[in-house]
Amino acid sequence: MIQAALHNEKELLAQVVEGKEEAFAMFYHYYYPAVSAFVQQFLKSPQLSEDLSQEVFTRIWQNRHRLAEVQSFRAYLFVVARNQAITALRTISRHELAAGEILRHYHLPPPSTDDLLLTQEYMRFLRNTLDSLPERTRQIFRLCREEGRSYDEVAALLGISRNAVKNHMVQAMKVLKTSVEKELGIPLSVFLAVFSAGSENF
Amino acid sequence: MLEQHHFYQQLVKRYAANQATSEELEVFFHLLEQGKLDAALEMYMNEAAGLTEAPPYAEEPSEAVITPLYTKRKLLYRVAAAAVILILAGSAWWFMNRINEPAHPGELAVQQDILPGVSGATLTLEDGSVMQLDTAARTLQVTQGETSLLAGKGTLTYRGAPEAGNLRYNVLTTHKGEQYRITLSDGTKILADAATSLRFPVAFTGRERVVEINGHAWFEVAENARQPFYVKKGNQLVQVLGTSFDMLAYDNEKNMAVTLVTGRVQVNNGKAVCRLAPGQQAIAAKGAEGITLIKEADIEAATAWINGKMVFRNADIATIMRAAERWYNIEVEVQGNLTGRSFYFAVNRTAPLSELLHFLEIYHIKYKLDTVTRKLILMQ
Repeated sequence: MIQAALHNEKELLAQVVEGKEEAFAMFYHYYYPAVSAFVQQFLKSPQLSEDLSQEVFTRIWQNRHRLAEVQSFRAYLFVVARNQAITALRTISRHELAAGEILRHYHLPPPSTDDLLLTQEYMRFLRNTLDSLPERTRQIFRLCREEGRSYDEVAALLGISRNAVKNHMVQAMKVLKTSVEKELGIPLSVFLAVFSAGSENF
Repeated sequence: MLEQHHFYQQLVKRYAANQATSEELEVFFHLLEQGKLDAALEMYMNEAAGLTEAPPYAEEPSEAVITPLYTKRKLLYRVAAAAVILILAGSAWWFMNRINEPAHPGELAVQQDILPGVSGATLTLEDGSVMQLDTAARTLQVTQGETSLLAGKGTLTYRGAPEAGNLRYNVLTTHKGEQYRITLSDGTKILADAATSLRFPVAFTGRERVVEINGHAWFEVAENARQPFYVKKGNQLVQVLGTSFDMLAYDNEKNMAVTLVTGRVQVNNGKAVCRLAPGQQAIAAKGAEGITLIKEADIEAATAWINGKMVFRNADIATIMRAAERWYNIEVEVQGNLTGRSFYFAVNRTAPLSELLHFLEIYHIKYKLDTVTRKLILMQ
Protein backbone atom coordinates (compact mmCIF):
# COMPACT_ATOMS: atom_id res chain seq x y z
CA MET A 1 0.00 0.00 0.00
CA ILE A 2 1.50 3.25 -1.06
CA GLN A 3 0.52 6.28 0.89
CA ALA A 4 -0.74 9.30 -0.94
CA ALA A 5 1.34 12.41 -0.59
CA LEU A 6 0.28 15.06 1.86
CA HIS A 7 -2.14 17.24 -0.04
CA ASN A 8 -0.08 20.39 0.32
CA GLU A 9 3.28 18.66 0.18
CA LYS A 10 4.95 21.15 -2.15
CA GLU A 11 4.34 24.05 0.19
CA LEU A 12 5.33 22.02 3.19
CA LEU A 13 8.55 20.94 1.51
CA ALA A 14 9.42 24.55 0.83
CA GLN A 15 8.84 25.32 4.48
CA VAL A 16 11.04 22.45 5.57
CA VAL A 17 13.82 23.72 3.34
CA GLU A 18 13.47 27.04 5.13
CA GLY A 19 13.97 25.23 8.39
CA LYS A 20 10.41 25.22 9.68
CA GLU A 21 10.29 22.37 12.14
CA GLU A 22 6.54 22.28 12.34
CA ALA A 23 6.33 21.58 8.64
CA PHE A 24 8.77 18.72 9.02
CA ALA A 25 6.70 17.41 11.90
CA MET A 26 3.87 16.89 9.41
CA PHE A 27 6.02 14.69 7.25
CA TYR A 28 7.37 12.91 10.23
CA HIS A 29 4.05 11.98 11.72
CA TYR A 30 2.48 11.18 8.42
CA TYR A 31 5.21 8.92 7.07
CA TYR A 32 6.83 7.55 10.18
CA PRO A 33 4.67 4.42 10.56
CA ALA A 34 5.23 3.41 6.95
CA VAL A 35 8.99 3.90 7.17
CA SER A 36 9.15 2.01 10.43
CA ALA A 37 7.18 -0.91 9.01
CA PHE A 38 9.39 -0.92 5.95
CA VAL A 39 12.59 -0.95 7.96
CA GLN A 40 11.34 -3.62 10.28
CA GLN A 41 10.87 -6.02 7.41
CA PHE A 42 14.64 -6.07 7.15
CA LEU A 43 15.94 -5.34 10.62
CA LYS A 44 13.39 -7.46 12.50
CA SER A 45 14.20 -5.99 15.88
CA PRO A 46 11.42 -3.48 16.69
CA GLN A 47 13.73 -1.30 18.72
CA LEU A 48 16.44 -1.30 16.10
CA SER A 49 13.87 -0.54 13.42
CA GLU A 50 12.41 2.31 15.37
CA ASP A 51 15.73 3.89 16.02
CA LEU A 52 16.91 3.45 12.46
CA SER A 53 13.69 5.05 11.25
CA GLN A 54 14.34 7.98 13.56
CA GLU A 55 17.77 8.17 12.05
CA VAL A 56 16.30 8.35 8.57
CA PHE A 57 14.25 11.39 9.52
CA THR A 58 17.15 12.97 11.34
CA ARG A 59 19.29 12.70 8.23
CA ILE A 60 16.62 14.15 6.05
CA TRP A 61 16.16 17.04 8.45
CA GLN A 62 19.88 17.63 8.64
CA ASN A 63 20.12 17.63 4.84
CA ARG A 64 16.89 19.51 4.31
CA HIS A 65 18.45 21.84 1.76
CA ARG A 66 18.40 18.89 -0.61
CA LEU A 67 14.63 18.74 -0.44
CA ALA A 68 14.52 21.80 -2.67
CA GLU A 69 15.02 19.61 -5.72
CA VAL A 70 12.88 16.73 -4.53
CA GLN A 71 9.66 16.06 -6.42
CA SER A 72 8.28 13.32 -4.28
CA PHE A 73 9.08 13.44 -0.60
CA ARG A 74 7.88 9.91 -0.23
CA ALA A 75 10.23 8.54 -2.86
CA TYR A 76 13.16 10.49 -1.42
CA LEU A 77 12.31 9.28 2.07
CA PHE A 78 12.24 5.66 1.04
CA VAL A 79 15.46 5.92 -0.90
CA VAL A 80 17.12 7.19 2.25
CA ALA A 81 15.41 4.48 4.31
CA ARG A 82 16.44 1.83 1.80
CA ASN A 83 20.05 2.96 1.77
CA GLN A 84 20.14 3.15 5.54
CA ALA A 85 18.64 -0.31 5.86
CA ILE A 86 21.11 -1.84 3.41
CA THR A 87 24.04 -0.15 5.12
CA ALA A 88 22.80 -1.36 8.48
CA LEU A 89 22.31 -4.91 7.22
CA ARG A 90 25.82 -4.96 5.81
CA THR A 91 27.26 -3.80 9.08
CA ILE A 92 25.16 -6.31 10.90
CA SER A 93 26.34 -9.16 8.71
CA ARG A 94 29.90 -8.43 9.74
CA HIS A 95 29.23 -8.20 13.37
CA GLU A 96 28.19 -11.01 15.61
CA LEU A 97 26.79 -8.64 18.19
CA ALA A 98 24.48 -6.91 15.77
CA ALA A 99 23.47 -10.09 14.00
CA GLY A 100 22.43 -11.43 17.37
CA GLU A 101 20.08 -8.51 17.80
CA ILE A 102 18.35 -9.41 14.55
CA LEU A 103 18.33 -13.13 15.10
CA ARG A 104 16.80 -12.77 18.49
CA HIS A 105 13.83 -11.10 16.92
CA TYR A 106 13.57 -13.36 13.95
CA HIS A 107 10.76 -15.77 14.47
CA LEU A 108 11.64 -18.87 12.59
CA PRO A 109 8.73 -20.31 10.70
CA PRO A 110 7.45 -23.60 12.03
CA PRO A 111 8.67 -26.52 9.97
CA SER A 112 6.03 -26.92 7.38
CA THR A 113 5.17 -28.20 4.00
CA ASP A 114 5.92 -24.71 2.81
CA ASP A 115 9.42 -25.86 2.03
CA LEU A 116 8.03 -28.21 -0.55
CA LEU A 117 7.12 -25.17 -2.53
CA LEU A 118 10.76 -24.34 -2.94
CA THR A 119 12.18 -25.54 -6.14
CA GLN A 120 14.94 -28.07 -6.23
CA GLU A 121 17.20 -25.51 -7.83
CA TYR A 122 16.62 -23.16 -4.92
CA MET A 123 17.50 -25.91 -2.49
CA ARG A 124 20.57 -26.77 -4.51
CA PHE A 125 21.86 -23.19 -4.40
CA LEU A 126 21.11 -23.06 -0.72
CA ARG A 127 22.90 -26.31 -0.03
CA ASN A 128 25.92 -25.31 -2.09
CA THR A 129 26.34 -22.05 -0.25
CA LEU A 130 25.76 -23.72 3.06
CA ASP A 131 28.45 -26.25 2.33
CA SER A 132 30.90 -23.52 1.51
CA LEU A 133 30.46 -21.75 4.84
CA PRO A 134 33.34 -21.94 7.24
CA GLU A 135 32.40 -23.88 10.33
CA ARG A 136 32.98 -20.87 12.55
CA THR A 137 30.25 -18.92 10.81
CA ARG A 138 27.82 -21.53 11.89
CA GLN A 139 29.01 -21.49 15.44
CA ILE A 140 28.58 -17.77 15.68
CA PHE A 141 25.24 -18.11 14.18
CA ARG A 142 24.16 -20.45 16.88
CA LEU A 143 25.75 -18.33 19.55
CA CYS A 144 24.02 -15.21 18.28
CA ARG A 145 20.66 -16.63 18.95
CA GLU A 146 21.51 -17.60 22.46
CA GLU A 147 23.38 -14.59 23.71
CA GLY A 148 21.60 -11.51 24.89
CA ARG A 149 23.60 -8.46 24.01
CA SER A 150 23.31 -4.87 24.93
CA TYR A 151 21.07 -3.07 22.54
CA ASP A 152 22.97 0.16 23.05
CA GLU A 153 26.14 -1.45 21.78
CA VAL A 154 24.36 -2.48 18.63
CA ALA A 155 22.86 0.96 18.15
CA ALA A 156 26.27 2.55 18.63
CA LEU A 157 27.74 0.12 16.12
CA LEU A 158 25.21 1.10 13.51
CA GLY A 159 25.73 4.77 14.24
CA ILE A 160 22.22 5.25 15.45
CA SER A 161 21.66 8.14 17.79
CA ARG A 162 18.80 6.82 19.76
CA ASN A 163 15.61 8.73 19.81
CA ALA A 164 17.25 11.88 18.57
CA VAL A 165 14.32 12.79 16.38
CA LYS A 166 11.73 11.77 18.87
CA ASN A 167 12.94 14.39 21.28
CA HIS A 168 13.34 16.79 18.48
CA MET A 169 9.82 16.15 17.29
CA VAL A 170 8.33 16.45 20.71
CA GLN A 171 9.92 19.85 20.82
CA ALA A 172 8.67 20.72 17.36
CA MET A 173 5.17 19.62 18.18
CA LYS A 174 5.15 21.75 21.28
CA VAL A 175 6.07 24.76 19.24
CA LEU A 176 3.42 23.90 16.71
CA LYS A 177 0.79 23.30 19.34
CA THR A 178 1.41 26.63 20.95
CA SER A 179 1.36 28.58 17.72
CA VAL A 180 -1.72 26.82 16.34
CA GLU A 181 -3.70 27.33 19.49
CA LYS A 182 -2.56 30.90 19.81
CA GLU A 183 -3.06 31.93 16.23
CA LEU A 184 -6.07 29.91 15.19
CA GLY A 185 -7.76 29.44 18.49
CA ILE A 186 -8.47 25.76 17.83
CA PRO A 187 -6.97 22.69 19.48
CA LEU A 188 -4.05 21.17 17.65
CA SER A 189 -5.82 17.88 17.06
CA VAL A 190 -8.58 19.57 15.16
CA PHE A 191 -6.09 21.55 13.18
CA LEU A 192 -4.17 18.45 12.26
CA ALA A 193 -7.25 16.51 11.29
CA VAL A 194 -8.10 19.21 8.82
CA PHE A 195 -4.58 19.92 7.80
CA SER A 196 -3.49 16.40 6.96
CA ALA A 197 -6.73 15.14 5.52
CA GLY A 198 -6.45 11.54 4.50
CA SER A 199 -3.82 10.70 7.03
CA GLU A 200 -4.70 8.21 9.69
CA ASN A 201 -1.77 8.96 11.84
CA PHE A 202 -3.27 11.38 14.26
CA MET B 1 17.03 -23.52 -14.46
CA LEU B 2 17.20 -21.16 -11.57
CA GLU B 3 19.86 -18.60 -11.98
CA GLN B 4 21.91 -17.29 -9.16
CA HIS B 5 20.33 -13.87 -9.01
CA HIS B 6 16.92 -15.46 -8.83
CA PHE B 7 18.11 -17.48 -5.91
CA TYR B 8 19.33 -14.30 -4.23
CA GLN B 9 16.01 -12.59 -4.87
CA GLN B 10 14.04 -15.46 -3.48
CA LEU B 11 16.25 -15.66 -0.43
CA VAL B 12 15.81 -11.94 0.29
CA LYS B 13 12.09 -12.24 -0.15
CA ARG B 14 11.82 -15.15 2.22
CA TYR B 15 14.00 -13.39 4.75
CA ALA B 16 11.85 -10.27 4.64
CA ALA B 17 8.66 -12.30 4.90
CA ASN B 18 9.98 -14.25 7.90
CA GLN B 19 9.79 -17.46 5.95
CA ALA B 20 13.48 -18.29 5.99
CA THR B 21 14.62 -21.31 7.95
CA SER B 22 17.70 -21.08 10.12
CA GLU B 23 19.77 -22.55 7.31
CA GLU B 24 18.53 -19.92 4.94
CA LEU B 25 19.29 -17.24 7.50
CA GLU B 26 22.80 -18.48 7.78
CA VAL B 27 23.23 -18.30 4.04
CA PHE B 28 21.52 -14.92 3.96
CA PHE B 29 23.96 -13.37 6.40
CA HIS B 30 26.91 -15.00 4.74
CA LEU B 31 26.00 -13.73 1.28
CA LEU B 32 25.14 -10.36 2.76
CA GLU B 33 28.54 -10.09 4.31
CA GLN B 34 30.11 -10.87 0.97
CA GLY B 35 28.10 -8.09 -0.61
CA LYS B 36 26.35 -10.52 -2.93
CA LEU B 37 22.87 -9.59 -1.85
CA ASP B 38 23.09 -5.85 -2.40
CA ALA B 39 21.43 -5.86 -5.79
CA ALA B 40 18.72 -8.27 -4.72
CA LEU B 41 18.06 -6.28 -1.56
CA GLU B 42 17.84 -3.03 -3.41
CA MET B 43 15.48 -4.51 -5.92
CA TYR B 44 13.27 -6.04 -3.28
CA MET B 45 13.27 -2.89 -1.18
CA ASN B 46 12.36 -0.75 -4.15
CA GLU B 47 9.40 -2.96 -4.74
CA ALA B 48 8.41 -3.04 -1.07
CA ALA B 49 8.64 0.74 -0.84
CA GLY B 50 6.85 1.31 -4.13
CA LEU B 51 9.87 3.10 -5.51
CA THR B 52 9.40 2.01 -9.09
CA GLU B 53 6.79 4.45 -10.21
CA ALA B 54 8.29 7.88 -9.74
CA PRO B 55 11.84 9.10 -9.38
CA PRO B 56 12.31 11.21 -6.29
CA TYR B 57 13.84 14.04 -8.25
CA ALA B 58 12.74 16.22 -11.08
CA GLU B 59 15.87 15.44 -12.99
CA GLU B 60 18.44 12.77 -12.58
CA PRO B 61 19.34 12.75 -8.92
CA SER B 62 22.78 13.99 -8.16
CA GLU B 63 24.91 11.10 -7.07
CA ALA B 64 25.73 12.80 -3.83
CA VAL B 65 22.18 12.50 -2.70
CA ILE B 66 21.52 8.94 -3.59
CA THR B 67 24.79 7.33 -2.74
CA PRO B 68 26.26 8.89 0.38
CA LEU B 69 24.95 6.13 2.56
CA TYR B 70 26.60 3.54 0.41
CA THR B 71 30.06 4.89 0.92
CA LYS B 72 32.13 2.51 2.91
CA ARG B 73 32.93 3.93 6.23
CA LYS B 74 36.00 3.20 8.20
CA LEU B 75 33.70 1.91 10.83
CA LEU B 76 33.01 -1.09 8.69
CA TYR B 77 36.63 -2.09 8.73
CA ARG B 78 36.88 -1.64 12.43
CA VAL B 79 33.74 -3.64 12.77
CA ALA B 80 35.13 -6.32 10.52
CA ALA B 81 38.26 -6.49 12.61
CA ALA B 82 36.24 -6.75 15.77
CA ALA B 83 34.12 -9.40 14.16
CA VAL B 84 37.16 -11.44 13.33
CA ILE B 85 38.19 -11.39 16.94
CA LEU B 86 34.78 -12.44 18.02
CA ILE B 87 34.59 -15.06 15.34
CA LEU B 88 37.82 -16.54 16.47
CA ALA B 89 37.19 -16.27 20.11
CA GLY B 90 33.61 -15.95 21.00
CA SER B 91 31.96 -18.93 19.54
CA ALA B 92 33.29 -21.54 21.78
CA TRP B 93 30.34 -22.99 23.31
CA TRP B 94 28.37 -24.91 20.86
CA PHE B 95 31.27 -26.16 18.94
CA MET B 96 32.21 -28.42 21.73
CA ASN B 97 29.44 -30.79 20.82
CA ARG B 98 31.70 -32.12 18.18
CA ILE B 99 34.38 -33.17 20.57
CA ASN B 100 31.94 -35.21 22.51
CA GLU B 101 32.80 -38.33 20.65
CA PRO B 102 36.28 -39.60 20.14
CA ALA B 103 37.37 -38.88 16.61
CA HIS B 104 37.77 -42.52 15.77
CA PRO B 105 35.73 -44.55 18.19
CA GLY B 106 36.35 -47.73 16.26
CA GLU B 107 40.09 -47.48 16.58
CA LEU B 108 40.20 -47.52 20.31
CA ALA B 109 41.39 -51.08 20.40
CA VAL B 110 44.21 -50.64 17.92
CA GLN B 111 46.48 -48.07 19.45
CA GLN B 112 49.07 -47.06 16.92
CA ASP B 113 48.31 -43.52 17.77
CA ILE B 114 47.03 -41.64 20.77
CA LEU B 115 43.55 -40.25 20.58
CA PRO B 116 42.75 -36.70 21.55
CA GLY B 117 40.84 -35.73 24.65
CA VAL B 118 37.11 -36.17 25.01
CA SER B 119 34.31 -34.63 26.97
CA GLY B 120 34.42 -35.94 30.49
CA ALA B 121 34.86 -34.89 34.08
CA THR B 122 34.45 -35.90 37.68
CA LEU B 123 32.01 -34.06 39.87
CA THR B 124 32.35 -34.04 43.63
CA LEU B 125 29.24 -33.03 45.48
CA GLU B 126 29.00 -31.22 48.82
CA ASP B 127 28.57 -34.47 50.70
CA GLY B 128 31.70 -35.94 49.17
CA SER B 129 29.98 -38.25 46.75
CA VAL B 130 31.54 -38.49 43.33
CA MET B 131 29.90 -38.65 39.92
CA GLN B 132 31.59 -39.54 36.66
CA LEU B 133 30.44 -37.34 33.82
CA ASP B 134 30.89 -38.35 30.24
CA THR B 135 29.31 -37.96 26.88
CA ALA B 136 26.73 -40.67 27.36
CA ALA B 137 23.28 -39.69 26.32
CA ARG B 138 21.84 -40.80 29.63
CA THR B 139 21.06 -37.94 31.95
CA LEU B 140 21.88 -37.77 35.61
CA GLN B 141 19.81 -35.61 37.85
CA VAL B 142 20.66 -34.70 41.40
CA THR B 143 18.93 -32.27 43.71
CA GLN B 144 20.93 -30.34 46.27
CA GLY B 145 18.82 -28.05 48.38
CA GLU B 146 16.81 -25.92 46.02
CA THR B 147 19.14 -26.53 43.12
CA SER B 148 19.06 -29.41 40.75
CA LEU B 149 21.83 -30.38 38.46
CA LEU B 150 21.48 -32.14 35.17
CA ALA B 151 24.37 -33.92 33.60
CA GLY B 152 24.40 -35.55 30.23
CA LYS B 153 25.80 -35.35 26.74
CA GLY B 154 28.92 -33.57 27.83
CA THR B 155 27.24 -30.75 29.71
CA LEU B 156 26.44 -30.05 33.30
CA THR B 157 23.70 -27.58 34.09
CA TYR B 158 22.64 -26.15 37.41
CA ARG B 159 19.16 -24.81 37.85
CA GLY B 160 17.54 -23.33 40.88
CA ALA B 161 16.91 -20.32 42.99
CA PRO B 162 19.34 -18.97 45.57
CA GLU B 163 18.48 -20.16 49.03
CA ALA B 164 19.30 -18.91 52.46
CA GLY B 165 22.01 -20.46 54.54
CA ASN B 166 25.48 -21.70 53.80
CA LEU B 167 26.75 -22.14 50.30
CA ARG B 168 26.99 -25.69 49.08
CA TYR B 169 30.04 -26.30 46.96
CA ASN B 170 30.62 -28.68 44.10
CA VAL B 171 33.94 -29.38 42.47
CA LEU B 172 34.26 -30.24 38.81
CA THR B 173 37.52 -31.84 37.83
CA THR B 174 38.72 -32.72 34.38
CA HIS B 175 41.62 -35.08 34.09
CA LYS B 176 44.25 -34.99 31.43
CA GLY B 177 42.55 -35.76 28.13
CA GLU B 178 39.21 -34.38 29.21
CA GLN B 179 37.24 -31.21 28.90
CA TYR B 180 33.77 -30.37 30.06
CA ARG B 181 31.27 -27.58 29.84
CA ILE B 182 29.07 -26.39 32.58
CA THR B 183 26.33 -23.86 33.10
CA LEU B 184 26.18 -22.48 36.62
CA SER B 185 22.95 -21.62 38.37
CA ASP B 186 23.29 -17.93 37.41
CA GLY B 187 23.57 -18.81 33.72
CA THR B 188 27.34 -18.36 33.52
CA LYS B 189 28.88 -20.78 31.06
CA ILE B 190 32.27 -22.31 31.52
CA LEU B 191 34.27 -24.60 29.31
CA ALA B 192 36.89 -26.35 31.40
CA ASP B 193 40.00 -27.47 29.56
CA ALA B 194 41.95 -30.57 30.49
CA ALA B 195 43.50 -31.04 33.93
CA THR B 196 41.37 -28.35 35.47
CA SER B 197 39.41 -28.10 38.62
CA LEU B 198 36.63 -25.63 39.33
CA ARG B 199 35.03 -25.12 42.71
CA PHE B 200 31.77 -23.24 42.79
CA PRO B 201 28.63 -22.94 44.86
CA VAL B 202 25.61 -24.86 43.68
CA ALA B 203 23.57 -21.67 44.02
CA PHE B 204 24.93 -18.18 44.42
CA THR B 205 23.70 -16.52 47.54
CA GLY B 206 25.19 -13.51 49.22
CA ARG B 207 26.81 -10.49 47.68
CA GLU B 208 29.20 -12.04 45.26
CA ARG B 209 29.72 -14.99 43.03
CA VAL B 210 33.07 -16.68 43.48
CA VAL B 211 34.45 -19.55 41.42
CA GLU B 212 37.84 -21.02 42.18
CA ILE B 213 39.98 -22.39 39.41
CA ASN B 214 43.10 -24.40 39.00
CA GLY B 215 43.76 -24.95 35.35
CA HIS B 216 42.36 -23.45 32.21
CA ALA B 217 38.85 -22.39 31.31
CA TRP B 218 36.77 -20.17 29.09
CA PHE B 219 34.16 -18.09 30.88
CA GLU B 220 31.03 -16.47 29.59
CA VAL B 221 29.81 -14.72 32.68
CA ALA B 222 26.16 -13.85 33.11
CA GLU B 223 25.78 -10.19 33.88
CA ASN B 224 24.54 -9.22 37.30
CA ALA B 225 25.86 -5.91 38.59
CA ARG B 226 24.48 -6.52 42.04
CA GLN B 227 26.35 -9.75 42.46
CA PRO B 228 29.86 -9.31 41.11
CA PHE B 229 31.59 -12.38 39.76
CA TYR B 230 35.10 -13.36 40.80
CA VAL B 231 37.40 -16.07 39.59
CA LYS B 232 40.02 -16.99 42.12
CA LYS B 233 43.31 -18.79 41.78
CA GLY B 234 45.25 -18.74 45.03
CA ASN B 235 45.69 -15.10 45.82
CA GLN B 236 45.02 -14.04 42.24
CA LEU B 237 41.61 -12.64 41.75
CA VAL B 238 39.81 -11.76 38.56
CA GLN B 239 36.86 -9.48 39.02
CA VAL B 240 34.41 -9.87 36.23
CA LEU B 241 31.90 -7.37 34.99
CA GLY B 242 29.76 -9.28 32.52
CA THR B 243 32.12 -10.69 30.02
CA SER B 244 33.78 -13.52 28.19
CA PHE B 245 37.40 -14.34 28.80
CA ASP B 246 39.98 -17.07 28.92
CA MET B 247 41.90 -17.84 32.07
CA LEU B 248 44.96 -20.00 32.12
CA ALA B 249 46.10 -20.75 35.65
CA TYR B 250 47.84 -24.09 35.98
CA ASP B 251 50.10 -24.85 38.86
CA ASN B 252 52.76 -26.07 36.47
CA GLU B 253 52.72 -23.00 34.25
CA LYS B 254 55.01 -20.14 35.06
CA ASN B 255 52.47 -17.56 33.97
CA MET B 256 48.88 -17.05 34.78
CA ALA B 257 47.16 -15.41 31.82
CA VAL B 258 43.78 -13.77 31.55
CA THR B 259 42.68 -12.92 28.04
CA LEU B 260 39.63 -10.73 27.66
CA VAL B 261 37.40 -11.02 24.63
CA THR B 262 34.35 -8.97 25.57
CA GLY B 263 33.33 -6.88 28.55
CA ARG B 264 35.61 -5.85 31.38
CA VAL B 265 37.68 -7.65 33.95
CA GLN B 266 40.10 -6.61 36.62
CA VAL B 267 42.99 -8.82 37.61
CA ASN B 268 44.35 -8.55 41.12
CA ASN B 269 47.25 -10.61 42.44
CA GLY B 270 47.27 -9.07 45.87
CA LYS B 271 50.08 -6.69 44.95
CA ALA B 272 49.01 -5.22 41.70
CA VAL B 273 45.76 -4.54 39.95
CA CYS B 274 45.26 -4.50 36.22
CA ARG B 275 42.15 -3.58 34.29
CA LEU B 276 41.62 -5.19 30.92
CA ALA B 277 39.85 -3.94 27.85
CA PRO B 278 38.68 -6.39 25.18
CA GLY B 279 41.58 -7.73 23.17
CA GLN B 280 44.02 -7.34 26.03
CA GLN B 281 45.79 -9.93 28.12
CA ALA B 282 47.12 -9.79 31.67
CA ILE B 283 50.04 -11.97 32.60
CA ALA B 284 50.98 -12.58 36.19
CA ALA B 285 54.27 -14.43 36.39
CA LYS B 286 54.87 -16.61 39.36
CA GLY B 287 56.92 -14.83 41.99
CA ALA B 288 56.70 -11.50 40.22
CA GLU B 289 55.08 -8.57 41.93
CA GLY B 290 53.57 -6.84 38.96
CA ILE B 291 51.15 -7.83 36.29
CA THR B 292 52.10 -7.41 32.67
CA LEU B 293 49.47 -5.93 30.41
CA ILE B 294 49.61 -6.94 26.78
CA LYS B 295 47.63 -4.35 24.92
CA GLU B 296 47.26 -6.22 21.69
CA ALA B 297 47.08 -9.79 22.74
CA ASP B 298 47.01 -12.69 20.36
CA ILE B 299 43.37 -13.42 21.07
CA GLU B 300 43.19 -15.99 18.33
CA ALA B 301 45.94 -18.10 19.78
CA ALA B 302 44.75 -17.74 23.36
CA THR B 303 41.20 -18.75 22.62
CA ALA B 304 41.66 -21.14 19.72
CA TRP B 305 41.15 -24.10 22.00
CA ILE B 306 37.53 -23.26 22.58
CA ASN B 307 37.02 -23.51 18.84
CA GLY B 308 38.70 -26.86 18.84
CA LYS B 309 42.19 -25.82 17.80
CA MET B 310 45.55 -25.67 19.43
CA VAL B 311 47.35 -22.64 18.15
CA PHE B 312 50.86 -21.73 19.15
CA ARG B 313 52.69 -18.68 17.96
CA ASN B 314 56.19 -17.92 18.97
CA ALA B 315 55.85 -20.53 21.70
CA ASP B 316 58.66 -22.48 23.29
CA ILE B 317 58.67 -26.24 23.14
CA ALA B 318 57.95 -26.63 26.84
CA THR B 319 54.73 -24.68 26.63
CA ILE B 320 53.58 -26.67 23.64
CA MET B 321 54.44 -29.96 25.27
CA ARG B 322 52.66 -29.09 28.51
CA ALA B 323 49.53 -28.46 26.47
CA ALA B 324 50.05 -31.75 24.64
CA GLU B 325 50.46 -33.58 27.94
CA ARG B 326 47.17 -32.23 29.17
CA TRP B 327 45.10 -32.84 26.09
CA TYR B 328 46.57 -36.16 24.98
CA ASN B 329 47.10 -37.44 28.48
CA ILE B 330 50.72 -38.24 27.87
CA GLU B 331 54.03 -37.62 29.56
CA VAL B 332 56.64 -35.76 27.59
CA GLU B 333 60.33 -35.82 28.21
CA VAL B 334 62.61 -33.46 26.36
CA GLN B 335 66.12 -34.81 25.89
CA GLY B 336 68.66 -32.46 24.49
CA ASN B 337 68.38 -28.75 24.29
CA LEU B 338 65.39 -27.31 22.49
CA THR B 339 65.14 -24.18 24.59
CA GLY B 340 65.58 -20.88 22.88
CA ARG B 341 63.73 -22.05 19.82
CA SER B 342 60.27 -20.76 19.12
CA PHE B 343 57.59 -22.55 17.20
CA TYR B 344 54.49 -21.78 15.25
CA PHE B 345 51.91 -24.42 14.72
CA ALA B 346 48.24 -25.29 14.87
CA VAL B 347 46.40 -28.59 15.02
CA ASN B 348 42.80 -29.53 15.55
CA ARG B 349 42.05 -30.72 19.03
CA THR B 350 39.97 -33.47 17.47
CA ALA B 351 43.05 -34.84 15.73
CA PRO B 352 45.07 -37.68 17.16
CA LEU B 353 48.53 -37.12 18.54
CA SER B 354 50.14 -38.09 15.25
CA GLU B 355 49.15 -34.73 13.79
CA LEU B 356 51.09 -32.98 16.47
CA LEU B 357 54.01 -35.32 15.92
CA HIS B 358 53.93 -34.39 12.29
CA PHE B 359 54.59 -30.83 13.36
CA LEU B 360 57.68 -32.03 15.21
CA GLU B 361 58.90 -33.64 12.02
CA ILE B 362 58.46 -30.40 10.17
CA TYR B 363 60.73 -28.77 12.69
CA HIS B 364 63.21 -31.64 12.41
CA ILE B 365 62.70 -32.77 15.95
CA LYS B 366 63.16 -36.49 16.46
CA TYR B 367 60.92 -38.31 18.85
CA LYS B 368 59.97 -41.69 20.25
CA LEU B 369 56.44 -42.51 21.25
CA ASP B 370 55.36 -45.39 23.43
CA THR B 371 51.60 -45.69 23.13
CA VAL B 372 51.34 -48.18 25.97
CA THR B 373 53.02 -46.07 28.62
CA ARG B 374 51.82 -42.93 26.82
CA LYS B 375 55.27 -41.48 26.90
CA LEU B 376 56.71 -39.17 24.28
CA ILE B 377 60.42 -38.47 24.20
CA LEU B 378 61.77 -35.59 22.14
CA MET B 379 65.31 -35.64 20.91
CA GLN B 380 67.19 -32.87 19.32
